[in-house]
Amino acid sequence: MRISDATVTSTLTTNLSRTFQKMAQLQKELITGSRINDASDDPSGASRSLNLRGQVRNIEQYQRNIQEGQGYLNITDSTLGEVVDTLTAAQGTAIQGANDTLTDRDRKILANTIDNLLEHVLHLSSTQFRGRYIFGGTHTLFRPYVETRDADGKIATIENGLTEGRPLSDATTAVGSLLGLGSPPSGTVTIGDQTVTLDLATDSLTTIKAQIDAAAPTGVTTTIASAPSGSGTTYRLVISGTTTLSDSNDVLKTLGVETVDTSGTILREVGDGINVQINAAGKDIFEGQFNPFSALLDLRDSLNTNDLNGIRDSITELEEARNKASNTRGVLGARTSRVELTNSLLERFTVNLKESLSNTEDTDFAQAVVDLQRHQNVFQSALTTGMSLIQPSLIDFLR
Amino acid sequence: MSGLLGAIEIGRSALRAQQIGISVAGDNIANVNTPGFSRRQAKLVTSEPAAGLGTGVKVTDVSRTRDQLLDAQVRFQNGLFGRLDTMQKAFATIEGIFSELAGSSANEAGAVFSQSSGVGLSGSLSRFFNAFQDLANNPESGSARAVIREEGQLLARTFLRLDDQLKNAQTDLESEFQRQVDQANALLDEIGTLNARVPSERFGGGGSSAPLEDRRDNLIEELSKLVDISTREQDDGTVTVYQSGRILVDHAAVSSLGRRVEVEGDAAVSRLTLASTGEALTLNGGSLKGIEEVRDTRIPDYLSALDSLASTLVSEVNQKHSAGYGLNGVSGTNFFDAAGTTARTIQVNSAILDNTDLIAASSDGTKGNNRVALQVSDLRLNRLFSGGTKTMEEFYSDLVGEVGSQAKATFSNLESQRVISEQLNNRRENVRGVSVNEEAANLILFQRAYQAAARIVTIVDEMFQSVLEMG
Repeated sequence: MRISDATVTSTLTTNLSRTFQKMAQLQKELITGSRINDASDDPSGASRSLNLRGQVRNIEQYQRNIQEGQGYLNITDSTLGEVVDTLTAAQGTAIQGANDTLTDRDRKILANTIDNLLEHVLHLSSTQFRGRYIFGGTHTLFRPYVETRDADGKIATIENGLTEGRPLSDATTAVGSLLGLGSPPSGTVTIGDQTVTLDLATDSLTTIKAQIDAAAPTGVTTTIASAPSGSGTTYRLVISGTTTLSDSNDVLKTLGVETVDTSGTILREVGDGINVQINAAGKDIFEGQFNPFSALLDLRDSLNTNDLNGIRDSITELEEARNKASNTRGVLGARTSRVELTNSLLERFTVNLKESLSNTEDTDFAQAVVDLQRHQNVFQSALTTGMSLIQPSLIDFLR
Repeated sequence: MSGLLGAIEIGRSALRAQQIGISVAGDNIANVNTPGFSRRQAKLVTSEPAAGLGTGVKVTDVSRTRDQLLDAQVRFQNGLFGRLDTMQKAFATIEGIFSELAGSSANEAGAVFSQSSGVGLSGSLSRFFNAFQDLANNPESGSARAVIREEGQLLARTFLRLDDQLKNAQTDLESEFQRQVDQANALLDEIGTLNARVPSERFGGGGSSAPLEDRRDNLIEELSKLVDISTREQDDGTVTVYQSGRILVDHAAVSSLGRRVEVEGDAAVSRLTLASTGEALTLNGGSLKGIEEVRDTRIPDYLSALDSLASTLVSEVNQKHSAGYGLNGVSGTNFFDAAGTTARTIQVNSAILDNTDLIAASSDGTKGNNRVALQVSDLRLNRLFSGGTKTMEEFYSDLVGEVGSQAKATFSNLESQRVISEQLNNRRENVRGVSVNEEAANLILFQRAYQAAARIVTIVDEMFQSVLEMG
């Protein structure tokens, strides 16, 4: 077959460049450490690697959630432990107080001890984690339980607290129109011992405050708290000094003022769509028939009044209240260990994921180096043959 | 006249013929590296015999060595190659647009998987939904909301960037289309001009049309890379060029290509027409066909996939988000502007940009409630695509995989096409290319024949001497 000079050179150069291209590709894999530098290097691998990386990011988020949730669970657990210990101590005091041989004065001293324990439990019920009340259900920004005190500064009653109003942009415009409500609620609201009639269609924050002040319920103070926000100022209605609120037509609730409902649950996502409740509802511990507050208050009052039967009843009451706290603590403990188990599973899972990610993406260094060497050898021998192939022709031998 | 004068005439014709032979060999050697050069051959023919005796030799033609079948095949393969070559370049760009893989091996996993990663859409989506998880962890927090606003904007910008870059690629292809049509017209004009000169300059006419024909055929080859064409060589040496059955060049007459602009989606795209009649031409190969495929089929596919991802994201997130309450107790706020449901127009609701307290985490208005934040975040797990089989991130990674596999198919088709074209070219070069060895042999051959012919003249001259001495 006839072979032209051009064919020889073009065959040589295309083969050289092809080998060179392969070397460049291998070098890229070696330098980046990644087998997939463009999606076309391995389309299904690229798609798989994106999915794997998404999963790794999810799991890392779950681990963050768990870490945060564990802090919440731990502080709730230790606080409940403290509540149980306090109630146990109170029981001891009650048993002591039930002793017939004690004098009135002795019982008064014991009543003082109980007062301190009561203050302590109230303090525990207001425990905060990162600025959030942990027993307030989802009303995390307001004190869940608020006390009223008598003239001596002793705790008289403890009830659920009130929330503060939502921020409004204006204090002198009718609330209904500020909130853009079609039919704003109106009706009677009982605050403390006084009843006022409010109508959000006409009343502004200022007139509402004036109406409550005019009715002057005992011990109640109303304020309009203002705070700078963005371009302007926001105003909120704050009612304090009372624990009783009756708002059948949701007038104050529309303003954001309501009794704290401590039953709300707070969830953490610890796996794809798997949520774990991390809070203990205050309602399950501090409210209901037997609760630490009423048990302690009853005990104190019985001690003060030398009511031996009352003191004996309080021992049972305290027992029930302590059981409630212990039970809640048990449920919480089960959740804690579940979260811990999930966490260690996630850790193992991350290792596996990262391994398959590495298998999908990473260069097999040994293989790549061997391949590179092989191509280099081919390249060099092609160069050598090329030199001897192109040079000689008949012209060299014509003299 | 078959005397001594006849004999000297024979010598003269031989000298002339061998000299032409040497020139042709020299010319071939001179052009050994000229691209597109077909080696020349002097056609030696015995002169008309007179009175039963030969009268020597004459050169009837200096012709190009060609194989018309191979030429036609090369032009056809050029069309296939041109299409793939253009698509390869386009896909390299498109692939880069979708790339979030570079420099992201598991070796540096720490950097890659941390919150700082994710310039690509896949990463942006993850970060957006994870920001809602962080809000679920701190539903009362203003800073978690500020992060969501940033991530939401980043996500919208990422959509916009992808859309922008794909549309830029489309526009670039459109201008390339226009440029190549202009280039094809310039080629057609020159082919016509050269065609016109060929008949008059053929060897018989005193010149040689070989260089003209070489040039013309090179131009036709250039043209065959742009548009799929077929050709027919006429008896007078001219070539007629056809595209989808329409004559583009016939002798000197050229029918130029034109464009008709059509609107497709958001993009204005040109279609190939015959300039004189405005009739649409069907492309089956050439780089124009490659441009058309990527510009009118591939890129719009990717764009609509991004649009459907954006629109689902907007409607799903808004549906969950508007059911929730913000930090200020306001409910019914859309997170994304409900009017922007494409990759280009998706954006965070301007009310939220002004006031992040509107970002909802709570399902009942209490500030510690995080249900809605969890619901929004859980959208990433919902199989909203492909008949309920794919999550948003899976839908997107499938899109990247699809781009990759289409790019890969183009790259490997181009490689095999390159091999086919090279082999074909080599076969043709083996026919028409210059072999220096062969020409060197020819040189010796013609040189020896020239020397011998010179001897003839010398001998006849001596015979004349002898005749004259007789007198």
